[in-house]
Amino acid sequence: MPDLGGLVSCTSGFLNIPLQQIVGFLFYMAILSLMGLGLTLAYQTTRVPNFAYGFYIGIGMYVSFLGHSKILGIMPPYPLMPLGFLLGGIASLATYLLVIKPLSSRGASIVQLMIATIAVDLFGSTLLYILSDYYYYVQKIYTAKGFLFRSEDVVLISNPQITAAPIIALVLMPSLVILLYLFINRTKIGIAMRASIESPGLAEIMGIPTNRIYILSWFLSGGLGGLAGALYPMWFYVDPNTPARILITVFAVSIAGGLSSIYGPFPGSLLVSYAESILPSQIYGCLYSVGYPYSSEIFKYGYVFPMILIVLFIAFAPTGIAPAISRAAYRLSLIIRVKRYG
Amino acid sequence: MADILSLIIDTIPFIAIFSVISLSLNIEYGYAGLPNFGKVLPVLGGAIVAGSLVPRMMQAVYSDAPKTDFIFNNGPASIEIQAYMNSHPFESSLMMILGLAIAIAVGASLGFIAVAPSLKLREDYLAITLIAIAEIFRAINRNYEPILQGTRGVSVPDPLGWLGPKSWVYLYVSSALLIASILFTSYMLKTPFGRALRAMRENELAAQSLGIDIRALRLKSLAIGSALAATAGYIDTMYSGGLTVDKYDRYIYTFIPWLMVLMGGAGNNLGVILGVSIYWIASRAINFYKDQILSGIAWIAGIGGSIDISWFDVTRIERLAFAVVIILILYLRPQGILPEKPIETPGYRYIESMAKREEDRNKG
Repeated sequence: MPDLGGLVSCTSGFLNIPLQQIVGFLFYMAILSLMGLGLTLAYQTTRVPNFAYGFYIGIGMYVSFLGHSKILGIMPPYPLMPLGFLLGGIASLATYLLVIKPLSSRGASIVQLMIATIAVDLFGSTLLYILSDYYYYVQKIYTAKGFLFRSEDVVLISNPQITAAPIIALVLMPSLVILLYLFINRTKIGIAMRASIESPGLAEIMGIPTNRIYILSWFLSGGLGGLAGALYPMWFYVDPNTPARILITVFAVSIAGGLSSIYGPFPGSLLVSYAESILPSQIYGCLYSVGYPYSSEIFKYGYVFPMILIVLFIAFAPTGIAPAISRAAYRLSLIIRVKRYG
Repeated sequence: MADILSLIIDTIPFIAIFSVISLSLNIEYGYAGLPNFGKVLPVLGGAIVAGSLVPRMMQAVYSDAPKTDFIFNNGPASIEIQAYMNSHPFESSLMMILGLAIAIAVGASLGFIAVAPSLKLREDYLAITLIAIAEIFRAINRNYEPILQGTRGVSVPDPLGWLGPKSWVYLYVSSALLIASILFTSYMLKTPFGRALRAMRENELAAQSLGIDIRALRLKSLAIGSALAATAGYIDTMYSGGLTVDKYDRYIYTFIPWLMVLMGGAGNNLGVILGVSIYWIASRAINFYKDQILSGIAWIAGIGGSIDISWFDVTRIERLAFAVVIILILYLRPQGILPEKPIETPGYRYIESMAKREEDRNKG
């Protein structure tokens, strides 16, 4: 009879997840899906991975920071979220109009466009560093280089403490999904957007102003990043380096979901949020319960998990989860039809 | 005179090391058209061989070498190993050469591993994979303490310490590395392999129709480029005498080499070295004139008046400026200062001479 004690305690450690962590996972999933949606949207229009996306997210984060009691005094900073959306959208639009469009009309290659977005990211993140320097050294607000507004949020449940941010994110995400669905399937602009993405040449022949559609897509793309960025510090810690780190996580969301599908970021965010916020503590729980002495080391590597997902998906399933889901749905609909009509 | 001498000693190793990194990027991007945004990966790989492996190899191979734990008792161990290296010139030189060979192998393997997942895909997927793998590698070395003491880093003994003053020794060593790299890349790019790289960059489908194996070529070009970059990381660490993972960040060891290559001229080795030199001059100029730059900013910010901006970190200006420069280069002169030249194969020379003859005949 093999000794199953270790396996049993490992499984119980694996399944023992505190409620607050589940809430954190759901919140992270919701904001990652908004960020991933923005990144995928811009990718679909110009076929260029936008490495400046972290900058738009950073704008949102620092817009929330402006709600600090010594600056605007709007805490919790929910009224500033539309400003995050607007400024993120403007930054993204500026990237498209000042960098991407002039360069691509001069025949720049994908690689040149990618390096240009990296340059925009460097420029933007340096501006955010300067802003944080200003508030830190001049205004003496020492949280400018590291802030978290969870304790300033509205408390909905006191034990375990659940604040308003996850609820807002969880309402916002599905409503945006429904709005997006209605927008790209029912409205004229939405259908024009889909046409311009799928076949720009043909759309232009049909009289669709593709340039204007791209402008709208890029604005929405950055806006979603700014909005999600504004929510981020309500649950997670932010420092000036956070946007650069989260950029790779957002790429993981878009790639895991599938860059070719606008709905890809939703399953993608589920997977990435699980891999980063729950899996490390499950592995810890398992290792700890079997007595592994260095089990807490796993937490140092939490942020590496999304990067590993990127590599695994690119190596084994570069089209991501969404196409697989739609294929499965199509097969299911065929089976149902066959059953219904014989 | 002493000032000029110290300037040369200060400048040459920097230009040599960054030229080697940029030349390696030139093989990958300039010739093969591959977007290596994870350039920091092989450089760090080479650096780790120098900082973490060579001293421990010394301890393992020679029984009379000091046995203090190199990582967890790094300070004393480093001093003891340095003393041992100084008194054993032959053994330490051997280790230096062996370490360099290992760095080349590690670099090539890292390049191979980094490109393998995205061999069949478009350049954008390749770029994202390379960034991700470079970050995974950095994260492991930053957190797994037995490699480099985590974030604290290690002090690195110099196997060439017995030769004389470090700055002079590495002036020659880095120059030799640069000359060897220039000779190697110039030779390699004139071979059929080099021409195949350009064919792949220009049109993958056309290259494939001529029997060129695109996947093998991608693997080889990234492996060769990474091996070369690893040698730069190896010499860089031996020269600086210390190693922390945070020194090898995305900005200095990926973005700056890209700036150098694009500024000098992708596909032109001489242009790349020119790009490195211009970067060096510009970066030093910003540093030298930082007070004037600061007062200029204060003047603009206060619109003529004087406001206190002593809090302003001038290194931020460098980043802002180089970000703008790279976009301007892509916009105004995407081929760089010295554009790529055609390869002078015998066939090319023949066609050129025929064209000249035709031109002369028309004139006559």
